[in-house]
Amino acid sequence: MSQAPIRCLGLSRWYGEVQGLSGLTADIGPGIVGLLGPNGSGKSTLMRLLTGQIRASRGKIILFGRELKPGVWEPFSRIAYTPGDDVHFEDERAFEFLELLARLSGENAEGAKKRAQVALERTGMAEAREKRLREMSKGMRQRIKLAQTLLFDHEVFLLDEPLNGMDPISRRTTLDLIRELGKEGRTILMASHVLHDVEAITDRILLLHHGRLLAEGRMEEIRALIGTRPREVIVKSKIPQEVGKILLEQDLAVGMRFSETRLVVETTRLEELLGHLSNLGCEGKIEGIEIEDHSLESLFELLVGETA
Amino acid sequence: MAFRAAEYERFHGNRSSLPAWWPIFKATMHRGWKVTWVRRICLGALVSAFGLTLMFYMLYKVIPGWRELMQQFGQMVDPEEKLPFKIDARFYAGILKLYIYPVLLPLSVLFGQDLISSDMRTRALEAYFARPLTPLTYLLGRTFAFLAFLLGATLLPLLWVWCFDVLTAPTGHFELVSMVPKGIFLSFGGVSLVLALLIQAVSSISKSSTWTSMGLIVLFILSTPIAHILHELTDMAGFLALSIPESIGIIIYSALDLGEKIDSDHASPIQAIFLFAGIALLSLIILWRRILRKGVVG
Amino acid sequence: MTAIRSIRSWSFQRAVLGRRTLPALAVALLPAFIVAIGAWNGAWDGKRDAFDDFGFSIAPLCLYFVLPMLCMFSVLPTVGELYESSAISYFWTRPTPRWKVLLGIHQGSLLAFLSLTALGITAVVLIMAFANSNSNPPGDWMQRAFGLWLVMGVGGAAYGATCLFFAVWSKRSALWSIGVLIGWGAIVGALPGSLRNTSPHRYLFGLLRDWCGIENVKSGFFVPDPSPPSAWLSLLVLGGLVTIALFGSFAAANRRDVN
Repeated sequence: MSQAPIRCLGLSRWYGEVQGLSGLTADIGPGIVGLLGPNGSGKSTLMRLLTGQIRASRGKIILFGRELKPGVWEPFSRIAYTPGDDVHFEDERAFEFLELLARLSGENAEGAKKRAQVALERTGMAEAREKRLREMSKGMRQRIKLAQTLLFDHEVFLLDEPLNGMDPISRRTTLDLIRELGKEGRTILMASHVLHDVEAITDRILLLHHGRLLAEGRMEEIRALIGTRPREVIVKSKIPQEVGKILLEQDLAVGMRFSETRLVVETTRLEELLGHLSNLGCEGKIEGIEIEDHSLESLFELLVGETA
Repeated sequence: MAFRAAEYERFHGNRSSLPAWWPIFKATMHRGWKVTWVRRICLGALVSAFGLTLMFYMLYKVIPGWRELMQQFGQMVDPEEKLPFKIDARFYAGILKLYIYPVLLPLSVLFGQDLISSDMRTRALEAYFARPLTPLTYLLGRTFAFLAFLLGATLLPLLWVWCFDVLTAPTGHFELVSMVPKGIFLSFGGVSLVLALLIQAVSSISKSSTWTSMGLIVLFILSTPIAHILHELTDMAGFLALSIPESIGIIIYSALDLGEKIDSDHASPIQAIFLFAGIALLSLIILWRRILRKGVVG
Repeated sequence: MTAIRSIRSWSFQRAVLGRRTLPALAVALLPAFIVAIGAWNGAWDGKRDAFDDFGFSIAPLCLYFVLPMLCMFSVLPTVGELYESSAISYFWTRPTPRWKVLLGIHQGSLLAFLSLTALGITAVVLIMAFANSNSNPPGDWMQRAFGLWLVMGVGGAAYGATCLFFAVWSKRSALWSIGVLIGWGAIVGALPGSLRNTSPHRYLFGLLRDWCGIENVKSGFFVPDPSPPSAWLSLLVLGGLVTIALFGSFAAANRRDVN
């Protein structure tokens, strides 16, 4: 069996008295691994530790067999990273931004231009290449963030909440892209607080809760622990009542709440609902969706209850 | 299945008789008080005023003629009367400056550096204006709270000192310091109003507390050499009004009827007032435009 | 070198073409604004000599106030905002040593600083030379202006590196920079007494004397230094400051967490 490209050994990180990550020991990859956990569970902390942006309070990280220390930068030629925060290069155009990052990785001017163009095309952003980042929607900015990970042929992808704020179509294409990268044999660690997103691309997960590794393994084993509780999907739309009516006609909702520009749908048929919402998105009837994954909360309740 | 169309239910109960800016005023006061250094400076101002009155009281009790003694001592060591050995308008001018530089200026920067900027950054303005709150009431609430804070930390302690001074002084002393309350009110009121508007305007442009404080410090420091160079090049004393510390001094002297301190090597009170009014007006225009632009959606 | 070049060009563009250019431009053009007001009010209509005023008043104004402020405006927004918004993670997760990124930012900011300073000094010289046409010949003006620009450039390199260090090292970089550049630099450098020997500004005045022929400056808030150091010593000290500040920045970059 080949050695995992990422190894965490007793990794801990404190922010003052708050513990961000506690004694995490795990081998990550190869293949797609979902990093699941609610907000504040330590997902981003782990991502930042793995990319050398913050230092571990205890423990160590081995990347491709070499320990990550301050001043060690060579492993980053094999790692691509998408931060969870918004991309803050407001004045830069999409193409310039990607070109800069490509050149920063050592590519020459001509090569950087080519790579930037290819990355934009792969993420469906080629038409927005001259658009400044401040003029872009959140979903477009997310795609630019993803595009910068595709500039080079990396072996490891660390994606921190890459689907946040994306519309249904972008979600689908991004998930397809991640699946494709996984099939090529790369290691992908995707952080998310939405179980469904992770489920769509992998069956291997790391489950974090309050900085601790709560579960690690195959999805179906963990899935079996969750009941069939309904999940909530928030649909942003200018015509929420019309969208609601369509979903009710399809019998995809077990409950609904409205406000002026959004609709909260409770469903037990999430897969089908999302498929239907994608179609509505294509028709321009909805602007975005967010999944309030209470199933994850139930799972945590279950696991914490058992382990406590 | 629960299906309920959303609709707004208007509030039909009795509305509060308090003005619309009151909630903003209260929230601003609360927010300001949460800043540790704001509390420390306010406390420092109150403690020093209390200390001064305690000193008056002790001297009054122990050496009843201490004022005359101090005056005689002053005539001996400082015949040109450069130092305030007599408790009169000049003495209060010194205390006013002491309260403006180490109290009013840092307090206003600390209090106001992130008031409007954070509302803009977090898009809270949109939330405010979605309620029955107009940009004017928002601005009034913020500015009134700002002023109340600044005046509470400066005007009230000094008035307290003045009252104590008058109460423990011999007859005839009141005439010497009768203009002081007016002077305190005009100086602190004027400077506080200008600072409140200026800081909010700078903060609305920079949208960052660091840059607001930096911009203000730079403006304050830079205004003096600019004014002096222009004065030297043109021989026009009016340019000295561009120096903010100089103009503050002139306003204090005029408010305390100490016109004789303002000679031809200084800007005139009118010029200083003109500068401050200009800053206030410009700040108000900037502030108003920024609030409207950032707060109104659509 | 590709990495340094690309970051240099990015930080230069960000400093001179972005929305943040306006305050820097305003500071750079401040001396021009002052001399324009002076010329408008007939400052050089016969009574005064513009060439002397350039040396006695405008050059010190540039060194005492324009230099530190322009350095802050050129460096701090770029690096400070990268850290504040965590956008620095896009740079730190590339296969490029952090020192290369910081060196590129320093060079780009310095280029921006030099461009803005050149603009400001040229504007001052043009206004003053036109307002006082009977003053010194153009050659003298050019030598003095170029000399001042060079002195500003050396100061910009030293103070720019200092600002870079603060921006990487601390969240309160603006306050640190004001304290050090204006407090220790401009104010302590202008105070009489031995304390001024510790201030980089004293060494800038050494260069000002040797490169611009400005022996003395306006008294008052600018207290003249009776014996500024030689140009070589000044270059050595200021070069040392650049080196220390840059190495400090590189070390701080490896230690500071991205939030």
